[in-house]
Amino acid sequence: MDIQAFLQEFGPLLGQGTLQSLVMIVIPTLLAYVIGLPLGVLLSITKKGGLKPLPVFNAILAWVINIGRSIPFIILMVAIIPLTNLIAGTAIGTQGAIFPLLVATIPFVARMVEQSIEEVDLGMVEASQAYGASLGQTIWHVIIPEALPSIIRGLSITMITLFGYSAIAGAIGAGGLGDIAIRYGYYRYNQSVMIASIVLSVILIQIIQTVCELLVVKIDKRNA
Amino acid sequence: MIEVENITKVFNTQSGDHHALHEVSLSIQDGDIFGIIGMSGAGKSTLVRCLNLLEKPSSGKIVVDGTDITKLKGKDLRDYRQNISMIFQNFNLFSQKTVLENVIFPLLVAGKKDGAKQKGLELLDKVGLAEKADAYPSQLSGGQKQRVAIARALANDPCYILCDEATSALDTLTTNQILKLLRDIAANLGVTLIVITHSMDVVEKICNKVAVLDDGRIVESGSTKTVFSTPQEYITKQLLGQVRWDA
Ligand SMILES: Nc1ncnc2c1ncn2[C@@H]1O[C@H](COP(=O)(O)OP(=O)(O)O)[C@@H](O)[C@H]1O
Ligand SMILES: [Mg+2]
Repeated sequence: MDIQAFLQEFGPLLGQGTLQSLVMIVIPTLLAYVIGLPLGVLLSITKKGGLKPLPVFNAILAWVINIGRSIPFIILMVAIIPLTNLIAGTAIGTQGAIFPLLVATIPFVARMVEQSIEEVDLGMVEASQAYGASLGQTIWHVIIPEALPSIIRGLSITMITLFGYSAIAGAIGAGGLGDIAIRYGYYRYNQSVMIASIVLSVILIQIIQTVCELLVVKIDKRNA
Repeated sequence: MIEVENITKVFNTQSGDHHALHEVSLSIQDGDIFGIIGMSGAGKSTLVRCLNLLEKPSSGKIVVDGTDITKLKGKDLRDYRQNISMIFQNFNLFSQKTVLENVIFPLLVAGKKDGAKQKGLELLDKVGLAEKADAYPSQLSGGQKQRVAIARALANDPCYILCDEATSALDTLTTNQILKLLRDIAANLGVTLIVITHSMDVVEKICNKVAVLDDGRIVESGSTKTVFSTPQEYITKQLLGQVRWDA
């Protein structure tokens, strides 16, 4: 089969699959950061020795997040189907995959952000306090900007992880490149479609990684 | 005027309570360049961090211009900190902000946005770094970084500046430049400096008074002249290099 015929037959399918994968990466990522970023900040500052130590609150939050982190995605996805139906109107297809992807990603993001914040030099935090900044000002004007390059590196890891999850969701009908690979490569032994979806996956991940890396280089002033 | 009255600081560590400060008392007059000297681990940083309440004393009072500051909280504490600034051994400049943004940081958090930029540029001019306003800290040498930190410390026109080993990361020449700058600032702006150091040289050059801290206690204090010419304590003699190094 030549390339042209192949593209004619499978091009739209692969295009749509790529688009669906992208949707399943980008939308949950955005929403997960809206919720996970504040959670990560809270996780870090309420620790013992943190800016606002609240040991009980911290222990509960860490416990909830760890539960979220320890449930394998496929089990989580199935377990919350009723909730997904309620919120997304459906538990199938790309639309039905977004909510479980979001739920799985929030705790992941919270931990990543927490780690990025822990990397911030305590001396700067101390300087901020010594100059009379409030807790909120220290978080907003010092901790977040100083942690941002690391947070963006985490962003690319989050998106790649989400792509992995979305392929799992694809295996049970959520669409996307994973879905295509399973349906054509596994069930129908169509090697060409399988290979094409793998190539597209690699390209997608490379683009995400490169964009994030360029962004980090652009914003990080430590080696300006 | 700062009066430190019997402050004690106990750290609760895993290996038990650790007394970093034992009933320390000091009196710092306006216009002083007050040196606090001691070996590493003597409690110098802890003492100076108590003065701006980065560390809360376990007991005792710190009366600054008539107010016991150990009771301050929230907005009152933040207002107080605008009046008692700090510079650090490792400069602690914000790495993602420009030099100018660093300098005006204390103004912005104090809500004094109007004219902040102008003031920042004036301060940079004062420390001889006007042309570096848009540079980032990573593009500066150690001495330049400390100059920026000094400009930043001056942003809110503080009465006091705490200097914790401000020259310990710098070479001899740069140290002298920074010391001169600090001395001039104290003289011209009437800022009272509290200078923490393990270096006799620093005390000798700029401090009119000195207190010797050893294992969390003030063992000797007075005018620099007196303490240096007639040291009473073994530790002071040791710091002064009057004890044979291999004794
Ligand atoms: N946050 C802390 N927790 C426990 N011990 C501390 C803490 N900060 C300082 N110390 C201890 O207090 C003592 C004095 O420390 P520090 O004030 O940093 O000394 P210096 O600045 O004179 O070198 C040291 O023994 C140090 O280990
Ligand atoms: Mg110290």
